[in-house]
Amino acid sequence: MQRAFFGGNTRNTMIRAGVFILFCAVLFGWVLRPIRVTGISMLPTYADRSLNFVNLLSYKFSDPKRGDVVSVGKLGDRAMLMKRIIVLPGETYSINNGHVFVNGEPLDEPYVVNREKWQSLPRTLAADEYLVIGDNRGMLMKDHYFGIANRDHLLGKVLF
Amino acid sequence: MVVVAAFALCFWLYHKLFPNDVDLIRRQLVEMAEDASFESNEGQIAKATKSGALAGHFTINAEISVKPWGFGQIFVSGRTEIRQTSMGVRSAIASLRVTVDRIDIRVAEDRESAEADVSLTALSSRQDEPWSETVDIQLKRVDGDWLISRITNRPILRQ
Repeated sequence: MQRAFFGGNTRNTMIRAGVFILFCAVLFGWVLRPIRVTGISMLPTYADRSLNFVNLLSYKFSDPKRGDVVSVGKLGDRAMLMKRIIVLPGETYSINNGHVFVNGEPLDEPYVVNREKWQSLPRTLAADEYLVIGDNRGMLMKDHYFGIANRDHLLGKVLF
Repeated sequence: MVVVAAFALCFWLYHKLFPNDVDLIRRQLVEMAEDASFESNEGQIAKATKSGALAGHFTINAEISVKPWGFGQIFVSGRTEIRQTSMGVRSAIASLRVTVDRIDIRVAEDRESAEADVSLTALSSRQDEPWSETVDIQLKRVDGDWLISRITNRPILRQ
């Protein structure tokens, strides 16, 4: 029985198992955080209860880009928000009848299928502010949790 | 192996029997979240009992000042008002589930007050998706027990 579990050399197998556990702990604790999507605000791109990973290193060496789907929250949180970056620092945005305008130009958003008539007055973001919104614009604006996040609250990019 | 297991057991038992301030506060906050939660089939006696238990986690003159997403500023002051508000919420909403996701606790040097940075997730029967929020919680030691004296929220996303 012991041979079936541990192979010919128990000590080597234990070392391999330890290294593997350590590798998984580092990988899933500090690099790729497994997440389960809860809620409907990212429909139709991400279904409720779907599984994914957040790359926690993605913004260590580069800036967040428009269109990135990101995890928003504080490091250490078990629950994080999943939103898409729509407006970048320093840009002015407004929302008119559900269409987002950035610096006066309409934003092409192929990931949005349905649009409620959201409205928002023009606003300019500060140097470290990002506007993040979910893809489900078919929800009423008051029911959709979105807004401006600081750079340090963008924990990482969603992997796929 | 046996020595390591015995050591771990002793360590666990010690913390269970002689919890430090951080453990006590952590336990208090988790129990508060449990008392704030309710299922759709909660009876009238349970509503009153759990509302009383929820208010019991607070000091007599505690203040809650939060602005949940989609709502205006909510300000509740005093243990009685907290109990009444809890009863009102339990009558207005079919179910509510509050979970504590992360707790960072700093106990003051005199060990008579503490601050906790807490991430909460709430899902009510009225919402399609959970509401996650970071709240600042101040606690005071009253007659040996850690009680909440103030709750304010710091939204991750600003309007």
